[in-house]
Amino acid sequence: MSSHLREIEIPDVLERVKTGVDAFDELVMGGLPRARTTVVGGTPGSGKTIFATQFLAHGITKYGENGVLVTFEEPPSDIEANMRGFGWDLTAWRHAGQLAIVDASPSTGDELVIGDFDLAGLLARILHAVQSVNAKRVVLDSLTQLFDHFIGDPTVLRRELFRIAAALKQAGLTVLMTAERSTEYGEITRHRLEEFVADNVIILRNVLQREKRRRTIEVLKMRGSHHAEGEAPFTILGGQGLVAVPLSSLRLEQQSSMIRVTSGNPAIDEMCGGGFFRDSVTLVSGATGTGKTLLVTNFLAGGVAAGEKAVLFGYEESRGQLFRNAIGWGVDFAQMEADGRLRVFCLYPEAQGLADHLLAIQNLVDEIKPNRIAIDSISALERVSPESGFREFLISLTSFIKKREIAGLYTATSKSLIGGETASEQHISTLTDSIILLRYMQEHETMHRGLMVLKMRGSEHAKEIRRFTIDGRGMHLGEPFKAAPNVFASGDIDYYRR
Amino acid sequence: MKDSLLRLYIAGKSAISQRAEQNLDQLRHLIQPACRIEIIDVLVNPEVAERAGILATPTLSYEHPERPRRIIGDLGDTKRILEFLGLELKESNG
Repeated sequence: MSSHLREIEIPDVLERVKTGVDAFDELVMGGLPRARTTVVGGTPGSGKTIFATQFLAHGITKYGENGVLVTFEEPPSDIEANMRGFGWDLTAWRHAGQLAIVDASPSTGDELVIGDFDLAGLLARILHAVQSVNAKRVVLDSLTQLFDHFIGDPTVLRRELFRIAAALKQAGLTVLMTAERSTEYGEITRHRLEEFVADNVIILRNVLQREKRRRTIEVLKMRGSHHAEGEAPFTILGGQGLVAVPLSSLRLEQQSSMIRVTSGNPAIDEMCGGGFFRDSVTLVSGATGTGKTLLVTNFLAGGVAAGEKAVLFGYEESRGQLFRNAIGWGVDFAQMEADGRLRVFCLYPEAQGLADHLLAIQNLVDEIKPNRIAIDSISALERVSPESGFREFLISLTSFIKKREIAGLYTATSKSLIGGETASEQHISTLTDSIILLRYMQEHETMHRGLMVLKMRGSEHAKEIRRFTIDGRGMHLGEPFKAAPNVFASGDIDYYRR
Repeated sequence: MKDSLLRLYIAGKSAISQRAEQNLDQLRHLIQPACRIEIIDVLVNPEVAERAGILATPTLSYEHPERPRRIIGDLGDTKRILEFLGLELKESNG
């Protein structure tokens, strides 16, 4: 009985099989190890079937590797219909001999199990399908369903699953098996299926956090191989399937250039020691009404005037409002758009999850290829996300901007009018290269506005707090405040300087 | 009424397959009306197993037009098998 459980020779260096989910392949050092079995665990609705089907779909369309889909749950016709929405035409691939489907979905007839049995029938069908399309990739979706089918005989099932996994491995096939989990954090899979079949274990999660769904993928185990640790966010998009957000690429190793670009305001350029660095991200923080959006407007207009292309992502105000504001400060966004120098995108933060916001920004930037982008505001996006997700979002966005050698400007709204800090400032102060603070300052009986360059990585900068005014031509910097006690909350400056 | 058919799906010459074949051979002599017997080796004819949707072996498929049934296992328990398939023992059995 155990004759085909021979020792399997494992090559020293594992060849990688790309899933085609780019950011995921990065997490696992290039792809899933060839001729190994990977169990993908997840609660219902976590995207297991989509991930598994995508593995086959990309094999066929991108890497010239045919596949076999063994379905224990849904009949093939349902799967083919469901996957069409992601742009995967399983029917066509089947007809072209690139894909074979083994239908192991429950039959309607009566069935009784008495005594011992094996799953040689299933294995024979899988191997036959593999042979018929010369497959390199096999998906079993889902093991849990198969297990439930023979629920009375768990010992037999374990033994048989092990045999199937071993036989597929021996045939050099890269196998992905899905398995259901009952909870997001706890037992890895129901019936602990992964223990006896899996070389590798991947977990998909779909967690409700602060009334938002947050999807993540985690590599739990990868036998004989390194992998990135922790949960990486992903999203599911129509026409594409599962898209992971690259997190492992956030080692902040971007080469900083010493090329300066204008902030759009000559006086601020001077305070910064000659302007912003080209591939740097600057945070402008201030209470509402201190002039953050004006700074953004100047930043965009300054770039356009220097012959650059600029993009604005607005999350607080409508296009109409932004355009009217700009006109009020003597800047004509509409003309800049007509000239192909500027693009303005306004979105409700609540319209989608942060992972989707990030992908939208990345796609647009890669399409438009701007020299500078502004996000107004980062704190509006923070509203819609759990804290951990927000930090990941900021890290990914910042690293993306720097990789593209773009100048970035974020705004953040502080909650208190005088001094104070926001949670986004806490997250971001260590990530951004420069920080500009806008604050209301009380002097005698009147309120003034003050601007300070708090941090400028890799450069000297002015240390004083400059008063400024705003009129129909924009922002005008004046003399430094002579004495400005307690304008920043206690410990404020120390905090940023950390 | 057409002859009923008992089709047994086995996997090669494994011990369990042989046991099921022997048990079925005994069974066929016990029942009435007589059933035709057909044996399919899934290792030789996987495409037949695919069309029939066979997962486990041995599987005995009772190809009855109104009430098709399947029994998975080595067919050792004659009484339960006959009950489940709704077949009767021969009167003259002995």
